Formats: sequence, C-alpha cells, structure tokens
Amino acid sequence: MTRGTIKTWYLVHKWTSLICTAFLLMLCVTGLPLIFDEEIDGWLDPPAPMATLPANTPSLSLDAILGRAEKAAPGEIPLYISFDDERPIVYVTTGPTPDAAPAAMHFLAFDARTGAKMPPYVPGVMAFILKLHTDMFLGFWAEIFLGVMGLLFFAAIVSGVVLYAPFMSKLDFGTLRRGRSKRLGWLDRHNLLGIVTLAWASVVGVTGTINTFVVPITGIWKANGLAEIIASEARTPLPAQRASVQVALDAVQREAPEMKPQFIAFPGVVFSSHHHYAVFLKGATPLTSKMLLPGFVDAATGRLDAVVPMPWYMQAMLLAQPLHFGNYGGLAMKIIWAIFDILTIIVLGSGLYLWLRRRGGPSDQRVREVVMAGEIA
Amino acid sequence: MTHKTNGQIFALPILLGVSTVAGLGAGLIGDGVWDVGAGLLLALPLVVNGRYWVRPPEPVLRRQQLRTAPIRR
Repeated sequence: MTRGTIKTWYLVHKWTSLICTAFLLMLCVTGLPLIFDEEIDGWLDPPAPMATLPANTPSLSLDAILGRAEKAAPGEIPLYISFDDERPIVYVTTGPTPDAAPAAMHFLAFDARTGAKMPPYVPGVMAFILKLHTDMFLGFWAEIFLGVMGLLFFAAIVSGVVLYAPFMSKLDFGTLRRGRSKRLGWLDRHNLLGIVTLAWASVVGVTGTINTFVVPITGIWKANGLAEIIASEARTPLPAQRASVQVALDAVQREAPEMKPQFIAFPGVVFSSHHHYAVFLKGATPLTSKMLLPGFVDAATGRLDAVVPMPWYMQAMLLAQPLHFGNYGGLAMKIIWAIFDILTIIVLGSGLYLWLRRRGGPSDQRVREVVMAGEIA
Repeated sequence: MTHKTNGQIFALPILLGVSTVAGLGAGLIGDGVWDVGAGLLLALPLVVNGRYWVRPPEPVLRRQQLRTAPIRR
C-alpha cells in the first residue's frame, strides 16, 4: 500500500469517525439498557395476572373484542389489532383518525378468551430510552439522520480495517505495548478491540441503519408490490358498516394454515390500503417467525382480494430487526450483546482520545504513525 | 523485523469474524441447541479479546527480556 493510499484511508477513517462518534456513543449508551428491555419492563411493571382457564378455552371473536374496545375508547376507530406471543392477549390500538400520530393513539389490552379488559400498556422509562435511541424525540428526519450516522460508522469500520493492515505489518495479533506512552497503549487497544468487534459492530450498525428506513421502504413496497391493491382505492368509499374482522382473519388463515396471526392493520393506516384489512401472518418456527405474509381483505365485503408474499427487501428489513436488537437467542445472547456494546463504546472513546492527544503537525505525521505501528520517535 | 503478509495479519480476524457471523445466523435459525451454539460462536471473539487484554502476549515478553539482558550483565 502506498503512502498516498494510506493517507486517503486515514482521512476517511478520521472524518467518518469524527462526524459519527458523538451520535454512536449516544446510541451505544441508550442501546445498552434496551438490550434487556423485556427484563427491565417485566421487573418495573410485572405482567398483570390472568384468569386461570382450561388450556383449550376458545378465544372470543375479534369482533366481540372490537366491541369492547369501542366502549373503552368511545369515539375512536380501531387502527391495529395485534396478538401477544406468549399469553392469550389481544391488543387493540385506537385513534381519532387513521393517520393519527402515535401520541394520540390508545393502546388497549384484552383477555382473548373472556374479553376482560387488562391494564393498558403504559409507556415507561424503557419507552423513553427507545424513543431517544430511535430519533432523539425529533421525529422522522432525525431517525433518517441517525441511519446516515450508522452508514458513516460502517465506513469508519471499513477504513479502520484497511489501516489495520499496514499498522499490524510488524506486530503480532493482540500486541498491547505496556509500560510505554499512554497514547501508544490506547492505540494498541483501539486496534485490538476494533478488529475483534468488527463483525458484530458492522452487523448491528448496518441493521440499525436499515431499521431507520422502515417507513420509506414500506412506501416503496406499497407503491410497487401492492400497486394492484392500491388501484382498488378508486372504488367507492367504505360504508359505515364494515365486514367482520374475524371473518377476514379466518379467510387469510385458510390460505396459510400453518402460520399464526401477528397483526391486523385497518383501512387507512401505514400498513394497509384505504379499503382493506391487511392481515399479517407469521411463520410458526423460530426462523420463519421473522417472516410475514400479508393478506388483503376488502373491508366492505369481507372478500379476500390477495395474499401477497413480501418482496426480498421487505423480508431483509424484517430480518434486520432481530439482528439489531439481539433479542432472539435468550439471556446468554443478550449478555454477549451487552459486552460487545461496551467494547464498542471503548473503541469509540479510545478513537476520540487518540485524536485529541495526537501530536501536532500535518496529517502525513499520522500516516507515518500507521506505517511505523505507532513507533514514531 | 520482517513484514507480515495480509494473510498472516488477517487470519485470526477473519476467523473471529466468521465465528461472529455464524453465531448471529445460528441464533436466527432455531431455539435450544442453536441458541447455545450461537452463544459459543459469539463468545469466541470476546474470549480471544480477553486473553490478549489481560496478559501480555509472549513475543513482547521475550523482546523485553532481550532488551534488559545486557543491563544485568
């Protein structure tokens, strides 16, 4: 590698890192408690007890559940129905209009078997941290901005790996020069930690960026893959009398009997059209449970219009979610996630320290440092 | 001191990277034994890191001894 090439990569590493470090530190620090969000939430707000009924007790019709939701949130319309993974609980999200902001929505929970109203979900401290982590309370464009920071972070990782080669050309893997200058010690640690966390940090960084693009990616899918369904929007407006939601769910489930319902989006919300109940089924195995299959049912007539497998980019987006959260391999994986997260914080912090404590002089001086493995007299 | 080839420099990092990615994938495929395997594969880079972080690697020790040897004489 020529000095010119090294200098280019050094400048890429320096600038991508400098721009993203503050935000990445915020993301790593807020991300740390979020790894254990289920545990912390379960501890702060223990799940409400449910009536003990025989295991095969049938569930109420979703229409009956919706009736209860209407009484609990009068004057609002249902926007989403979703299903608990572990317990027989049905969640109903209601709002004043289909395009209501999340803050204006109400989240209701019902025992699926008895229709008894359960204590509603109250956003607690973890919801606050999640919001901070997602968009710093600044909305859509802030979320996209953090996605771009994730891309810069990935560029910093790639350029760091490129610089690792000339730096390590005379050093053994894992060399930590102790008893020398403090800066040299941290330069070695930065390199060791950076190369060890490389794959994890790349995957979590890139999947985090993908997560920030959920709304635009879903928009692309609706514009392309769902064009025929959207075309049906030219139809007459929906009458006040809607078709049964339970019948809609049953109709879609007949097409894929081995799958389980994940959520139902009502007409007008992001995940549906203006005319349909969009019923999203998920696979029953650990791998396929991340994959969703939507079926679109005419909300006026109850007729199943289409079951549309998601395109690859939607599947990739869905698969990116667990890879970012680290919540798919039990507590052991969460602990590993936390350790990697802390190591990444040290990589970011030491990188910043190395830059602040750099010797003066032009950036050629830093190139010399890379080539000489930090040994500049 | 001789220059290392890229192969020598990146052999261990590539192994650790492959282990990480395999662990991330294994956890997605299934529960139970898959999760245990995922945990072990993901822990490998952390263990290697811990090993080098805590103890100075052998070659450095040897070099330091060589450097101090003439003074003792």
